[in-house]
Amino acid sequence: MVVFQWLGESVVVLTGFALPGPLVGMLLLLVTLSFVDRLFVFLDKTGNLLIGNLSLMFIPISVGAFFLNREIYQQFPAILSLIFLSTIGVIFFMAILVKELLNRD
Amino acid sequence: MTELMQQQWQQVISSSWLLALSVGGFALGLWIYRRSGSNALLHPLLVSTPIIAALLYLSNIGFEQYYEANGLLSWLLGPTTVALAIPLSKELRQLPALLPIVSLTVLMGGFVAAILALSLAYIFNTSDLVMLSIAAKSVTTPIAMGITQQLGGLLTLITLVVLLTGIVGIITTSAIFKFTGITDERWQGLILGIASHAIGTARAFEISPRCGAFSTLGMGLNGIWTSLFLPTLVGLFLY
Repeated sequence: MVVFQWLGESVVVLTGFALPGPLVGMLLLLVTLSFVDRLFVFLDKTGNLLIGNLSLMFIPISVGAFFLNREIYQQFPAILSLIFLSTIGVIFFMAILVKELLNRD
Repeated sequence: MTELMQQQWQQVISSSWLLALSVGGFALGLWIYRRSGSNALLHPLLVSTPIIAALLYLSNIGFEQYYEANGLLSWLLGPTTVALAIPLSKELRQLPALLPIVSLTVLMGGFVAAILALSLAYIFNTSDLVMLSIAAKSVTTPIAMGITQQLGGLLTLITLVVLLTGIVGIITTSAIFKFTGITDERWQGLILGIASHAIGTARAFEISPRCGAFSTLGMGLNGIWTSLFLPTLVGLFLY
């Protein structure tokens, strides 16, 4: 997986795509996995362990939310309600959209 | 020589203590979360982070020092992103039949997410800087940081906004799915991934690997799609 991350990062550097290296690495691994079955067995266990602990990896950056400067905290009520309303709105929108699309089939 | 070694030992202790703080805080959060029967309001990211932040304040440690000491955890995000290809490849075979719904949901969902965020910022009359820093809110952190940098927004703000979006997403989705009658794990995953990126994906993997795979798909496609249209859309809102 580290190898594919590196491959992804190299592709990004070489081509100048505005995408993060790991994402490109994931796409590369996805293509490789669909051709080489044996690799799948080899990576399955490690991959699941990493994915199972995904939340842990967001802990450090999330703690940063308690260490922001004052100016931003002042606009916080607006930002917070904006995030809340727009996120709920878009989830509703997609849920209804999916429902409609499924009904049409 | 001994002095140097002592100094190094001090460094090891201080930095690994901070790493242990994250892991320990997370383990505590996870324990509470599991005992609550996976209640999204008690998600480890909501329970563990204030505890860790409080301990840092009490022991007078700055965020930079803490973040640096936890470089290993942040670094693991890279290989883990790559690892997401594994569950995704299991679902790939059935994808062609579902492609129309998946692509329409990503295209419209990603667009509506950005339009809603920007219109509300306009209505609430936030500063242009805030507007630039919230536009990429539904996109996974690494891509959102890239887009925000390109737009000229605040990187510290977008990481927080992305995080909060993810949390609001995982808190509200189960109620919304119940209300709208979306019971299929695949669609739940897709919507979680589009609306609340990696945090939604982490939550989706707790529901099932299949849910997680579709969440990964939604997150990845939305990240690419949003980075394409957002600069133009933001331009329209600012002038």
